[in-house]
Amino acid sequence: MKAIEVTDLTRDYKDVRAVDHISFDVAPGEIFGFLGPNGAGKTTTMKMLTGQLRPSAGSAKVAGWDIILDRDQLKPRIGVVFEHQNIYERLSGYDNLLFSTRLYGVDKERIHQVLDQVGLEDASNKLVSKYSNGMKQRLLIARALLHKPEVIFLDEPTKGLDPGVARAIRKIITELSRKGVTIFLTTHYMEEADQLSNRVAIIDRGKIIALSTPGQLKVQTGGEGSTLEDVFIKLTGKDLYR
Amino acid sequence: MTKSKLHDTLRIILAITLKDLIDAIKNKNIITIIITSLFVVVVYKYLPGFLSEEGPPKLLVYDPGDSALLSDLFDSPAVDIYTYESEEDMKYYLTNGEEPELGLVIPKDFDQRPITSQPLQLQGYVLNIFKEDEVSQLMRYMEDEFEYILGHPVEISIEKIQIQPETYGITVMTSLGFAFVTIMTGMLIIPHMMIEEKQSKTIEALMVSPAGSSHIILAKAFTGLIYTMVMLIMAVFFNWILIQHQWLFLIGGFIGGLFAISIGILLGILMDTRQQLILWAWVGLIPLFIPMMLSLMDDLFPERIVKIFQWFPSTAMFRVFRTSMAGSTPLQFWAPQLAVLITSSVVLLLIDAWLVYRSTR
Repeated sequence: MKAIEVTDLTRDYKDVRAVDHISFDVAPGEIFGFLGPNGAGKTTTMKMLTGQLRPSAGSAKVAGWDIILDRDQLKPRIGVVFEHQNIYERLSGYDNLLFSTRLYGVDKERIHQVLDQVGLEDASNKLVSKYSNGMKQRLLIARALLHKPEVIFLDEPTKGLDPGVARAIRKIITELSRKGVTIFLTTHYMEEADQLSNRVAIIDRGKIIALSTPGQLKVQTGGEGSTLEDVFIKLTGKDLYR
Repeated sequence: MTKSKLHDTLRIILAITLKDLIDAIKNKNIITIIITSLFVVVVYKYLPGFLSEEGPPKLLVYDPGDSALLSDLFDSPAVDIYTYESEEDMKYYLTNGEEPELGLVIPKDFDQRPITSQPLQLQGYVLNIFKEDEVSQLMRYMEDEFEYILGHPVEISIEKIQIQPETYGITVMTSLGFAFVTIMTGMLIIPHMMIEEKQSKTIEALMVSPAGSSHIILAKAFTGLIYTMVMLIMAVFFNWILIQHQWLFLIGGFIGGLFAISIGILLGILMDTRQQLILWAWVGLIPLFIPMMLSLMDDLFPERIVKIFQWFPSTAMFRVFRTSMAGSTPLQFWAPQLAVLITSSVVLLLIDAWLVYRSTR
């Protein structure tokens, strides 16, 4: 069974087609990089795969469950780390996680395990408003891990973080993959995608324009000595940082 | 719904409610709403006392025999005297009092009564909402004054008068205060929390969790109801002696709260920013508060117009609160009003549910 199976997935916003008949599979335990310029359809795809948005056409299964028909079964099997740090700032890190254990019906003991996993045990009683960006990002990851999901969606997990914290978060992602958790990763950092992903898909104007391992993409598209960033710019014609 | 699904639903709603209750206490906007509402209740309670001029106690008299006592009382600077054509009139005006006042019936044959060694007996009336020590103090004062005028001891036996459901006076201001607390709490706290979830995007985290929009809305409604009831209980703390029928007060508060919350949820769904909310909440307060005020002005508007104002949901809530302070609770003063409130709440909650359903398509 595939961890993610996407078939002809499409989403229209009035007259605009944000996602245009995309299809791909992700194997269990795989880190799948989903890359694309701003407005390419990454977030819309992620919202559909996490059950936040209904597709206009096509279908998808995540952890074996249909994203439209089986939303109730799907939700406890996925974890999502959003691009924006959407945590309750007036609660402590522990209380944020305690709330999630109640939502998911998970034992409270799990809080200490995930806090330890992301290195936040010592700061768990501090209010989140006092956390640094890096700490908040770790807490978001801890929240996504709390209910032991089979698939984790990470949207720009290291954006705006200093190199040390970004490195620690990449380490957590690698460890999760080793434990068999499937990772669906969107990032603007091509080096990060290259380093972490088993395979990457590049989406532009709603269509997948490349899908392969980073190594193969570099060979096929960029030529000798090229980076994933070169491949990206060549395929999309867009500078990542513009 | 299976047993396990029901269990999950309750667990999720309880989880969000608990989180919201804790989060709201730490939210300075919500604290401001709470303090403002309680401030209004305290002002409604104590403002009449501050505004009333210092003067002698009021004496409301029905004197069918034109007694000499009444003429002497008119000359006395120690009492502020009002006379009425009938005992019923005197009792009606007594129920409008905002501070302890004595109602007195002077018997027709009072002047002809023989003087004996026993004190002269008079029948007095006071409103039942005042404290015992305030009433005793008033009685002693009046008995001393009558003894001074008549040159003979007087004993006033007291009968307590119950407030009627449509009585003016202290119950009007107090009920307005209760309605204000209920509407402000339900209508403002919930949308504040909902807008904050939208702006901080924590709503997105909730939507990928086992919680759905219906869980979130129900949890917000529960949080709102809990806050409304706590606020009402705090408001009652200042006015406990006025509430004659606690059961009616609590039912009115609960259903009135539900009505205010259903408007609050609507605002929370439609508004995206706090600025929008504040603007529209004030616009929304006008059709809620103006009919309450206008329903009291039966001397300014035709009866038919006043009747229409009386059936506005907010006025219905206000009237239930008023009735809970009355001595008797005839069905027509609270049952139709509760029916109006329940119907309005159900209609508004259905609109809320439809908007949520539409937004997830």
